[in-house]
Amino acid sequence: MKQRITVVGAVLAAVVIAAGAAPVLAQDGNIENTEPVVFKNVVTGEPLSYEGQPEQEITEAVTNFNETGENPYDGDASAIEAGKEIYESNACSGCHMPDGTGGMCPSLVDDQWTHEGLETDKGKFEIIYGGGVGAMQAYGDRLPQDDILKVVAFINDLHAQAK
Amino acid sequence: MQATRISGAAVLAATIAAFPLTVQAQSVPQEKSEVARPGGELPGNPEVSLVEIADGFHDPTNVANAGDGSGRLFVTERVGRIKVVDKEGNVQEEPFLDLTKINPLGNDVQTGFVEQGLYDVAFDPDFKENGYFYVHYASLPFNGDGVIVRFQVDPENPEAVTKERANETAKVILRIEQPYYNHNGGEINFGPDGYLYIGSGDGGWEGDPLEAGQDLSTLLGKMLRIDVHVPDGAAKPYRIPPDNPFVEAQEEQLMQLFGIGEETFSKIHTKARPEIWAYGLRNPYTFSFDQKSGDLFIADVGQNHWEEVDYQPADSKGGENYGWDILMGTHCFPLSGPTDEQTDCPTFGVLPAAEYPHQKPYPGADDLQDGWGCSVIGLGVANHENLDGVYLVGDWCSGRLWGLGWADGKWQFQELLQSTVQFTGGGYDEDGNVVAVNSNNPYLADQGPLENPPGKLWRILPKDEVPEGAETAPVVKKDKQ
Repeated sequence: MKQRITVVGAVLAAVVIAAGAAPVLAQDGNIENTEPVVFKNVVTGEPLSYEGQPEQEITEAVTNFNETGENPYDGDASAIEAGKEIYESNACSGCHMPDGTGGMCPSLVDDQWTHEGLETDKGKFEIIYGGGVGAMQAYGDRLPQDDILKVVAFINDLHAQAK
Repeated sequence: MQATRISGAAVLAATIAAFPLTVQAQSVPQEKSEVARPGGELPGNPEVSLVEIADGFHDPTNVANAGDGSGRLFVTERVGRIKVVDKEGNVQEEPFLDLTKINPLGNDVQTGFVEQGLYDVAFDPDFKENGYFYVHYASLPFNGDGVIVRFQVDPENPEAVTKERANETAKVILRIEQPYYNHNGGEINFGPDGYLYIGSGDGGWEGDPLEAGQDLSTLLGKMLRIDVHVPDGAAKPYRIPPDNPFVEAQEEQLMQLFGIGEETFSKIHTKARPEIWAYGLRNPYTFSFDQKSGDLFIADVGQNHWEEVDYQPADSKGGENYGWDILMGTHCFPLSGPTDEQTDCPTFGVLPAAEYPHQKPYPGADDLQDGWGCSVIGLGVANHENLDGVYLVGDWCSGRLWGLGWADGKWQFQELLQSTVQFTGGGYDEDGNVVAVNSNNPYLADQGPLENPPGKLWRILPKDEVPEGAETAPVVKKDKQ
């Protein structure tokens, strides 16, 4: 029987550990002592043990997100547009449909989420990066984290527009 | 209750009248209300785990054992290779068969579309003596047509079939024309009767544009049954078993118009292919025989809204019409709106034992939160103490694993777990345990048969029989379901 070695994505791990050491600037400008953001597997709830793309550009948005769990691209029109392109060219749209209403895969625009926490940026990032059940494969080895954040921004926008 | 050879509603009605309801042994549902759906309860509320045997397979499609006492498992890889796994879970480096090498012009296997590739391997019941095994794959030279080919192991080299040996011994048993690149069926298995059964899809596109399911003149949309044990050099590479349901349907005969009953006329099908065992199927990509009872379960992949599992008792005479494309499961096809207590459509043909919905059970429906999937993958019939005669059914898209069993006088369809595993096929090890494989190949983001992240081989065991230290598949915690 083979042992699975638990490897947190190298980039993700480095950032998470770094974030744990320093207080983080909260959105309202007050300095808080914040626990490091621990990214989890949405199925098991265990810390994410999955290695994404080993070489990728770590953008400011990714660093920021890794520290706060908040997606800096939310509401950013050009990032949303880029996210739409990525969503449509990486099979997301084929299963979740171009308007996010789902079909073979769950709807992304209602308020029913298949796993706890998927309503948040962090949860959406976790399931895209590390995978969910069945055909919801991990895309962390196919997409840089920056692309995933843009997809999350696009999905958030779809969700808001469906209201 | 007998599962009789049923060719129409009239016969069905007659059958019900002739056999008053007795509900001891498991039987084919006669009423839509008897068809199981998620939410059933199996006796003893069994708990199972997926225990990892080996990993590193490229888009594994199915798995089988050779029945030769070696304890080996043979995993088919979509690209055209068969990998061997020994009893300890070690994967032999050299493939048992490598169809990517037998044709000097390139791979003999068409893998251009995600549903195409090497589908399955079946070992001859006398493999230990004759070394014969059979594969079903999409042929590149034949533009994706399905071919069933027999090869023979060299007794001097039982570990692997060289390309020379493959070419020397290859015998094409059957070619099934595939008009479109999807719905190719796939699984092949020898039944307890020694005949080769072939799951054949409706040929593809959507909505069965060829009307293949109900067309007895095509091999598409069928369960086929042939006798491959014919002498080499015979006029045909297979025989029609004498008790196939349409064996005489197309035979020329003198026409008589009077003095003949309805039933006799109903058996004349001048175009019926005698290879057909059952029809009205959409894409029977997987099917399994219960190793204990000989009963047959067919997992028929559905379209858009419902998945279907059909049951045939071991004493079936064949000829079942499973309804496609008139019905999918118990539902009208096409489905235009809510099915009111499943009464909208009259029953047509033979009902499934179970069905489960997609996330939207009908067009415009609210999304289901639980108990849904999108592509049924039959794995095998478990025969454990607490899981006796239960057909294990995985879902390719939702990672759910259901058990279909008979309890309290009816079929029960219970969700056993929901996992990260994207099921693609299943079979048995030589101890009779159900084994399964998964790919990591999102349908719409296929990177190619060698480029997708590798898949694994699993053994499905009762939770309390999982060996200590064994790696098991991550599952959604029950309290979250």
